[in-house]
Amino acid sequence: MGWFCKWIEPYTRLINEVCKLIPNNMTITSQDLTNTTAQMSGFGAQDDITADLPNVIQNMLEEFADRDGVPEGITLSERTAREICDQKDIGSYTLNIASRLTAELSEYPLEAHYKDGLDPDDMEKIVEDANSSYPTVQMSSEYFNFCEGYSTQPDSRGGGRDIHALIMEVNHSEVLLYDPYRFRRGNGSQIKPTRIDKGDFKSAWLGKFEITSTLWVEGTDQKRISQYIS
Amino acid sequence: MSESRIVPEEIHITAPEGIEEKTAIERKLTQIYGSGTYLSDFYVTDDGSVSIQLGNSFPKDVTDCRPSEEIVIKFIDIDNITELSGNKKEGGFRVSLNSRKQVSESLEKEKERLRENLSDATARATYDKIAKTPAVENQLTPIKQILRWTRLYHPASFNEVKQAQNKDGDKTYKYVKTLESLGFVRFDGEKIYAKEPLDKYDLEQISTKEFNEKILAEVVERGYKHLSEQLGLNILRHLPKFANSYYFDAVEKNDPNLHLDLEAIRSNIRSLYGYQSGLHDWVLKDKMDELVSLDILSNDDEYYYADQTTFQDIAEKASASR
Repeated sequence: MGWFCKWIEPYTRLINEVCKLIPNNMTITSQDLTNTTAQMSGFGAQDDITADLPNVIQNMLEEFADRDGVPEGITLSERTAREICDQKDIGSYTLNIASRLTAELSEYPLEAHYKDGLDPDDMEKIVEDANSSYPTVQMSSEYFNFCEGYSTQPDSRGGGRDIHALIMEVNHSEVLLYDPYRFRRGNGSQIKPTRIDKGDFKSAWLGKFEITSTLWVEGTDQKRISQYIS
Repeated sequence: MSESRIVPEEIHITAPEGIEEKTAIERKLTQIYGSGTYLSDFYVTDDGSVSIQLGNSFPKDVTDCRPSEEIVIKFIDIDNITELSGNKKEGGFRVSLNSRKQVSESLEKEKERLRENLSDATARATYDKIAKTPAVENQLTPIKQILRWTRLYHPASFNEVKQAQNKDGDKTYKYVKTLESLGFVRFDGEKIYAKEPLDKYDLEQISTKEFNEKILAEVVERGYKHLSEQLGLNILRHLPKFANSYYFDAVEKNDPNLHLDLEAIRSNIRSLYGYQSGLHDWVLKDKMDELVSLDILSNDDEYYYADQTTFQDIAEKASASR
């Protein structure tokens, strides 16, 4: 056994040194979960399972409006959110959605962005920017392999409909998000974040088209939200 | 927000480098018609014309209603809900677009077809039980009479049958023609002749309750659609409709042990048949309990679940007709 300890010692030392270089926020802590759950306290669960995007946009603005210095009036009614998405059973209309959302928020110095091809680093920056809402993302049905609180059965092609979710926390290894399929209006369950491995998230976010889609709202460059308010 | 402002008449799609044209088109169309959109068929001719069939995958909540059961969402895909056309142009494709309203209505029609297939499967799987109910038996009395008299007074005179039935207008004629089209009788314009499905019963049998049940069950099995749609015997659709409000979820989920409560069943009636069921809970419960008494459903306290044999039968018939 002694020879083994001697043999492995340099490797152990190397691993310890590498670990020192990695920041402590490797995993989501219970405090992160508590904070994110608190941020979701004003969220509404959906009634219509096909209307995930309007529901996520509503909650995206609900959380943003709850931040210091952001006007409360930016929240949307369910009807307006459905109109912006032209919600029908076939799904939402995302072409030019940023311009429709910006127009709806035209009273405020806000601009909506819908961008393709962002990567997890871009996502992390949006999440950490106090001047931006949390981002809404579209994920392929691959996500359902990792979802929490429910399960899905694929269609006859082995797939399903892409889902929209709100990203609320990103760190080195994990992502916390609001998943609208997990909750039902009126069933009394508390809305909680879903925790997913960052690699799994990225894969579902890229989807079968191998390109990410992200929607968020941010204060315009000319005037930051806090300035507008003060 | 008006439809014309939202969806353009046509769209030009260019595939980025390294991306297949078909993939680029599908992605753009998911932005227009929703994230459940997929290409169920895609064809480009040598002269550059493109033909696209769109499908849609939609979620259906099929959660068991018993406490502590996890939410389960089933995705259901429907091919070919709409067709788009286009042609190659300027290094990409120009595709003419249908409105979202039009595509949405096509999806609704296809869902209706799915529901009709299930109704048909349910009726055929439960015909022998449904035919025993007094309401159905009463509505089928003229059919039963024609079958019995044809066998008793073979070949039966159509005029005698018409006089005996004393029905308004050409109802008797329609019944006879229906039975002819279903293969129970032959009608030469004057006389009605028994055919094999009717001939197989001997004279002693045809006045028994068993004959009534068996022959009516056969008539319903063969002619459910015709009887309910063209002869207006809506009663045939009545109980299967309530049965479907349970079996749709159970068959999609492939789970005969799925337990649904009255609220979930009411919600399914709404989503399947597109209207608010104004039935009082007590009336709805009576309907469901009638299905239990006919061995079409089972129950356990406030929950309803499948009768195993009926489930297998419906699932097989629905899958064959899909």
